[in-house]
Amino acid sequence: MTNDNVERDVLRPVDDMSAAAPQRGRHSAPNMTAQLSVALPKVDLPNTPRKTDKPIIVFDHVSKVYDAQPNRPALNDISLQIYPGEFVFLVGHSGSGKSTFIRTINREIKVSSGHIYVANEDLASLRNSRVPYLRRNIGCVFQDFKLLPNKTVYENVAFALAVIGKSRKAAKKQVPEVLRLVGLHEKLDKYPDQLSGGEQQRVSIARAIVNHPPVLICDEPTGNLDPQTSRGIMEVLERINRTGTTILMATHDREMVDNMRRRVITLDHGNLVGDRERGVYGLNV
Amino acid sequence: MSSLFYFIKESLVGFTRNLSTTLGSIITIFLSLLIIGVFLMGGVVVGNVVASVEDEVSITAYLADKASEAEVVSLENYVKGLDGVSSVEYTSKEQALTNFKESMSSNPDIIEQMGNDNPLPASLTIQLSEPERVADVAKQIEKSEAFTSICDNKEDPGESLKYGQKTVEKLFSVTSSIRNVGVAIIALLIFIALVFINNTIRLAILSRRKEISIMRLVGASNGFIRGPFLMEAILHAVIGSVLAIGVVELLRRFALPQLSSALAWLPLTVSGHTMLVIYVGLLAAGLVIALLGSAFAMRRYLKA
Repeated sequence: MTNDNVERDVLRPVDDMSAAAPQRGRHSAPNMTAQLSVALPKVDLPNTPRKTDKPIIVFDHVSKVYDAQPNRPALNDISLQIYPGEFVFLVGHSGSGKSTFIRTINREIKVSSGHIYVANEDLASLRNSRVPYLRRNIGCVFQDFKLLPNKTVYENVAFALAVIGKSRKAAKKQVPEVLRLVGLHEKLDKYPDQLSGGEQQRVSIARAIVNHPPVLICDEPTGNLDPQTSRGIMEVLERINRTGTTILMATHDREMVDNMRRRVITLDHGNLVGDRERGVYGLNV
Repeated sequence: MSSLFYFIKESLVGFTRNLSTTLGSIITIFLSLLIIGVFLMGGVVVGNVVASVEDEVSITAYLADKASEAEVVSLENYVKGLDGVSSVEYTSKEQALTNFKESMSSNPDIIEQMGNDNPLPASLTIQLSEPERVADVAKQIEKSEAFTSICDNKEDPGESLKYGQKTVEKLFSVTSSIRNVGVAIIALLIFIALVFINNTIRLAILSRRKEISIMRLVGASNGFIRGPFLMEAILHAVIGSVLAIGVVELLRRFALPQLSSALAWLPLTVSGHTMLVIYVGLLAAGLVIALLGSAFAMRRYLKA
């Protein structure tokens, strides 16, 4: 625990945290909010997920070692659970393993050891031919939007439905609906380069959720956006979370994490160094 | 069914959207197949020429004046029975003289000097079905009783048997190396075409790897991702090879007759049947190369 710092020391008494027992922190959550409310703005927490539910994502002693860096695991023995309906931030320095963590969930990356279960499905034993079906249940949002420049907003979203075999009729109904949800229903026929960065990210969110996946993973979705636009994106994500979608979001945005007061998982050099209900950014970066 | 419709639609849309890469791969397929087609046609033409030159090879057996008709007929039958002989033709003394006079018509002096004598012997002209076996056949005839008893030069039967030994050997070594070089050139061209087409397709797919990665992220199955690309490959291959076939056919219709009349002594022809085989081959080669090329190029992007 070389990265201990003032902020963490302040938190320690209320949120008796250690990397070895990340689960314990959850039970002291209300107390923690009371103490921290002096320093941090108070926020509404409408639907804190119940721990009695079965977890939707389980990490069971997961490690990932890249061939290029055999002595420095990108993920080192990570165990945790994420429950349906949670909004989880994943924070840490660059290179701490956030992106690796995110990308193991939809099996863009295979782990080196340990098991990941998504909706009780063990990703280690999941056949390659089944991976597309896993991904249909996990929406993805990226820092660089990953929109197709030669397709319109409508086509970019409808594309996600077409490639999983949905009819064009279904797309005609669902696409405008989801674009309304992200506030872009008037820009159906625009091309990505005619939109602002925030609008492009909304399109990519719309594409990620048009299929109503139970899980949405976001890898620094606001990394390229200014603070005000980022807040707009976060509002959209919160709205989606309120419909019951589990959201896991890797981010660098300290202010946003501190404002939202949701569960925060902290990674450092591939180690799980923090997992707090209603946490704050926490690392001295 | 709806995905097939989607594949076709996407491949047609991709046509206009990626016009430069589309044109690039069509032109590459077209030119590669055109060169292969021209060389194949050229190879067939040269092959026909070589075969017709080889067919000119024949054996002439000169017979003694005193040979009876029965003896000649029995020799004729014996030769016909040999392997590699296709036909035997008898030329009488009178016929030989007439032929000689015809060929010497520009030199009437020589004919006049001959007077009424006919020094020319009768002969058998033997055509071969397998020209390479000419030396073999000649040896068998030379040794046979039927021939030695009536040959023109009893002391040395071999002298009465003419087939231009040295020339024939040289001719065959030339024709066989022409054939080998032809096969080698065509094999090399096919290899070059394969590399070219494969590269073009790889570039076309490389330029769309973002699209592929997004398709994967939203959960498209590999089969579904491949569909439009393979459909495009088929489209490009068909257009490219039809263009190539068209140009080769134009060359056959208009350039070959020109060449043929310029080189009148050579039989420059290709049968329609052979050309049909070449055209079907070109189309099939285009399809196979394009399909294999795109499937292969996509493999690395579709690994799980």
